[in-house]
Amino acid sequence: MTQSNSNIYLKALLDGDEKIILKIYSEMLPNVASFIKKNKGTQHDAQEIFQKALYQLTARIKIRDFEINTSFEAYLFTACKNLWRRELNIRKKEVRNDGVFELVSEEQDNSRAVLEQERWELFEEKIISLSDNCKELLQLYFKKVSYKVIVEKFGYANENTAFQRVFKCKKRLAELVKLDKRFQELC
Amino acid sequence: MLDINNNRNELIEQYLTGIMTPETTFAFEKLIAENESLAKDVELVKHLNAHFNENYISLKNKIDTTDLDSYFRSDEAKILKKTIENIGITYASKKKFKFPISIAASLIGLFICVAGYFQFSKHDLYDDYYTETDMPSLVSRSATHDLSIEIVYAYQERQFSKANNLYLTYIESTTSFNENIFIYGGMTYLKLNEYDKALIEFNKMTLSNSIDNSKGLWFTAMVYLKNDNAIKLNETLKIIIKNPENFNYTKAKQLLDELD
Repeated sequence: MTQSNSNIYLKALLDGDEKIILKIYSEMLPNVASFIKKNKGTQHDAQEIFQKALYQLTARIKIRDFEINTSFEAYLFTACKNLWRRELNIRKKEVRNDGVFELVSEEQDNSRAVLEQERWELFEEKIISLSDNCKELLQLYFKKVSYKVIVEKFGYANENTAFQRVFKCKKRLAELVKLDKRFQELC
Repeated sequence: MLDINNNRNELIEQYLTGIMTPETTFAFEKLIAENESLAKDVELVKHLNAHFNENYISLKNKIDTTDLDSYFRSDEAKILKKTIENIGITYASKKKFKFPISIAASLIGLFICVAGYFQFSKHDLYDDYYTETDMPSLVSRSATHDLSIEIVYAYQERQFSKANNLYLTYIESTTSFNENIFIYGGMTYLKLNEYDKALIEFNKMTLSNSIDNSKGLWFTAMVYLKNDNAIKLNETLKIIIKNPENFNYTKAKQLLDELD
């Protein structure tokens, strides 16, 4: 999907262009629904999440200097995935009756979801700007790949060196996030 | 005594991985409560860990949402919300009524009805049966950075054109590789709706000497499922269920049952 396609979709959302928004539904909702149904959700959940993602995206275009750097479909899919993870967390808390529930209006809830998506993008952006070596190392570390395998893969002297390297990459990532002006607003 | 000036990051790491003694944890938590900057650093590392682990952490209450709140409260936003919801209802009803329409069509022509229903249900089945967890892992023990990992990342990020270009470069420039890469090649073509090219890549997998070569058959079936080729889909699934060792043997049987 090209950048111009993304712009067509973004403009359609701003204009409320029913024909093109319907096209977005028919082309992109099935993938989102497939993901949500495989992760404890229903078709109805998928539709609600999809609508929220479109609505929140529109707010970002309206009041933020926001551009999609990847394809529209990829952006929307990720936003839906994140919203669904958020929804599952809320449901889990409700079932466990965990903690005190703060009464949040629908508007505030949408705002918070937008900022959480922005925070997700900030982290992704900084991960991408790490060296290839650090990126791969952290991916493996968080996939719980053992230090033994990491030592073999990267040719490190021992597991302690691998640990130090992971530690340095995490430290570097945290520094990159802290240097970004969005850090104060989002974290 | 905890030295947060020199060992700040190490202590945060130890605290979050739970390897501090109860006494040190108590002392560190006291420091966090007294030192806002340290608290913020701990919070950040916690967030980054959650990000990598695909866990969710909600936003802190004190974060300002005024500008977004004002937009979401506006009449303009409310109208837009209603528009998006109404289009969703239109989409859902179109999807729901495809089947009854095809029944009505059966009064006109049985053939048209069967073809219409078949096409509709196939797309739903593809969504149900294609799962990203079927995609192979390409993590290897090689010390060098491998382009195949970039293909996987691009694919996972749903940048299918980029993944396809990387795949073509990789195949041209590499003589020895993990045959599972053919699955990524085929899937990038499938995602781009280039069915014939997808079939060629999956066929390479099926004909390879890889221990996983039966994956080629399953992904070939996915092409026919997405492309509504019922005859070829049936043929491929029947080949898969001839051998219980084949990849997704049970799913292939289940899919055949659903098609019947």
